[in-house]
Amino acid sequence: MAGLIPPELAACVERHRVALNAAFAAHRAGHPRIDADGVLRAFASLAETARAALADRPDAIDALIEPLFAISLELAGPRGRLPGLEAHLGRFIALFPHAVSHEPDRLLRDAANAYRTLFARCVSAPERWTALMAGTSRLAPTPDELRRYGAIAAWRAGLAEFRQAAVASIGASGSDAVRALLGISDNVAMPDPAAFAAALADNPWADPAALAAGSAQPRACFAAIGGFSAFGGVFAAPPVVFAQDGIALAHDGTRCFEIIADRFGAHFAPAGAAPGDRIAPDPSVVVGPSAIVAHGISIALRDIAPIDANHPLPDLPVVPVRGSAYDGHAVYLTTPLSYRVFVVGIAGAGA
Amino acid sequence: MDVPKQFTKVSESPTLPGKRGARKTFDVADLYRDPSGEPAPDAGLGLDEKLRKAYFWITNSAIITPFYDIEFNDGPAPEYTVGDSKSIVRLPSAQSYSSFVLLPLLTLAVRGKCLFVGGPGRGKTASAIIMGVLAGYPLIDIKRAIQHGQPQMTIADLLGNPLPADLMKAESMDAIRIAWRKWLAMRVKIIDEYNRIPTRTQSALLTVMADNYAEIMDQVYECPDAAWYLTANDDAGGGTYQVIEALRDRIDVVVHALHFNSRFIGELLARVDSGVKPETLVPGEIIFTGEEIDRMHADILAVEMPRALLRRLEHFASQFEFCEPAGEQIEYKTKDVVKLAGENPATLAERETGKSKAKDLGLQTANGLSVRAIMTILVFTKALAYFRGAREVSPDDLRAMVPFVLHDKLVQNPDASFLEEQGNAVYRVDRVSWIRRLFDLSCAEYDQVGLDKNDPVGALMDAFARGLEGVTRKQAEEALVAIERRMDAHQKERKLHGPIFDDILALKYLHQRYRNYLRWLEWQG
Repeated sequence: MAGLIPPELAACVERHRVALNAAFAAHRAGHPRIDADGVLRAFASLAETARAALADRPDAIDALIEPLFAISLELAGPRGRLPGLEAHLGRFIALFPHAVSHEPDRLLRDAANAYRTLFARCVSAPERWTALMAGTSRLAPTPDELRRYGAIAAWRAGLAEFRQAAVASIGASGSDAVRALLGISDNVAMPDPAAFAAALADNPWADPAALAAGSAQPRACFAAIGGFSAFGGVFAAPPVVFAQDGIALAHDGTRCFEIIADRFGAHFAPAGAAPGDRIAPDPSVVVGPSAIVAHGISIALRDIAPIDANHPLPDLPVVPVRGSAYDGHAVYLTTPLSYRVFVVGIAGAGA
Repeated sequence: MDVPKQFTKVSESPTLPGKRGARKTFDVADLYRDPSGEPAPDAGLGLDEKLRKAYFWITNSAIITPFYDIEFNDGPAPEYTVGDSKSIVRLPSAQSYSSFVLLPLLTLAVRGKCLFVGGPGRGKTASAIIMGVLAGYPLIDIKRAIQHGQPQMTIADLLGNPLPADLMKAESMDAIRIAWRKWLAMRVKIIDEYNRIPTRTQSALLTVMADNYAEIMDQVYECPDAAWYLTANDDAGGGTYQVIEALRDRIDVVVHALHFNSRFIGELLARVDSGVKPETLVPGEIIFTGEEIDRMHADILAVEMPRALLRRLEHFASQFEFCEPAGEQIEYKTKDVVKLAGENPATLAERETGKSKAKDLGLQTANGLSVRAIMTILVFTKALAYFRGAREVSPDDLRAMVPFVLHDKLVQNPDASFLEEQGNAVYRVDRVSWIRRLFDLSCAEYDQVGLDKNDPVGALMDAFARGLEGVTRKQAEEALVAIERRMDAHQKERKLHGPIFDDILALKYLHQRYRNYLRWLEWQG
């Protein structure tokens, strides 16, 4: 184990030795099986990453030692057994060393929580989030800016429940950051962030890049969400969607969820017990051989562009529809044999 | 003059053969220190050996204290019963120690507060002076820094004086400079006969001891962390002034200066003949620098307290505060509530019926353990384990240290039925043995109940200590059911004792935490 960290870092750790050993002892009281070597390895790796990233401010590493150790204790415990969490945190520190050195405790915990939440949604989401965040590192954000960027990137990485926070953050962020986080080309003149945020708020299925460029978008887009719980999805049985008070809900026989979905992802929020007598297809949604009509809005099937090519629109006129709902922005459909909810998002429906 | 070699000889290493490194302990320094096991220049290894060398130099060359009242055994120890009182004398099989030397040394290592009690001329002040020399101070400075308690001692005598010129010229209190007494800046502080200090001056001393600063005329002097040594000829109220309770409570350990064994008069003669004063001959290799004491303190705090042993200490500590008739609501059934109401807990305890008054340990005391007392037990027990070359506290360390920490903190109930039983009257005067007996009885009860193997409340506490993050609704509901079942079990037991009282309060705490968490989960959806 000796020699894991260079002498200049060792001198810094020595200054905090008592506090770090005491923190370990306190942690071990509640977690007797903690892997001590694992803690040291994680700490050495993170501390060395931080030291390298803060090469221009060697004094700043001092304030990071104890927070890094606290997060290393988590990494070696049951909550840290997330594949690659240590590496993700290392990349985060390397990308934003100055912000982290200003608020090490909060930012490291926020980042660790973000990675856990993203991983719980999709194994590749942490990678996507880091890649999106990397685009803002040249802006050297402050801790507050970093938290705003984190919300936007989390939304882009698939956490639909972060949409409201992300849209609010877009309105409060600079053009360069918004451009980097939403993938808007450098050739496009950035609209005013507040106006742009308002437009996004009204249209959860719009492509931000196209919206910023003012270019034409498909009339509707398609996504398949949910899936079988045994394969990492949500539902234990093929679900049925239904509408209640303008909200789309899905029920799989045992549990009921509110569907929060947009262009970048979906979230199923537990919604208590399903009202059995209200689970019925939305009568205002009609699936025809060439179009879907919802509340008087007709969308031709040929105009619906899948967001993910791996999940094309099913052959709706052939497959019977078991449940349907419309929430003002999208039509939700379920079929008898699929564990997925098929969503047709209508661009500009809410505008 | 040639000094006989026996007075300067330091024991050869290892002073504790074959003991070191029983279990690897966590130390973040493993990331950078020398893996060969040799002490790296700055790694802080080997100070326990230096501390033991200091101990053996004091016992072999400085203070004639041929006692081994802190006994340790690592195998069968011969036992003999002597006298009409049938006292048991054990010949310890493992390295054992004299409390009179060991406890002051540990006090130096953890920068604690040690009170020497005993009759005049038994080496109390001499022992304190040697600790000062071990901390690196010249003998002359130590002697000048001793504060001798006497009935006319004023706050100015103790802390310092305002400069006379400033008193005349100053236009505000801020402008009055204070000539602070030099002892305030020392890392070893000695207060001789502290129970002869007037009450008002004791209060000023309390501020220095408790909060590490001195104050005169709005001027504040911040003192460094220090080891404190206080002496008292008669600690049971025989001093000129009653020691204020807050000051007494600040004392970490109490050490008895035992009598002089007349078989060792020959050694006294050798000193008289050679004119040797041991405090002038402290070998340089056992003198500690301030930085070494800091490091030693840090190493001591890093000694681990095993969970099972901590649970045993919890069980012991839970015996004393509970007083069933003290309150209606469960939280107020404590001796402290009785004392705050101006009543005597012992009198109230007499009203308790249905319990064995001789077996309930709580009935033997008039108070419970303070947080400070428990923290002191933890620190000094770790210090003893460290001194014995261990990386982890053992039950023997805990048993050895508890009486010295609680000596003045656990007040005996003189009317306790236990003390009336045959053979127990000795515990009225021998507090060290009484507290050790209390600890043994608590451990026996702990073993009888089988708490090491079956501790449902401990298991619930452990589960909660792992944190609520990620706990599902189902798991939280299961925990609530387990808590309520445990409460049902306590309801059926009918009799309440200290440990059950603490368990019930812990269950109530856990129930509330899980209930709030569940509510939060529901709100979150």
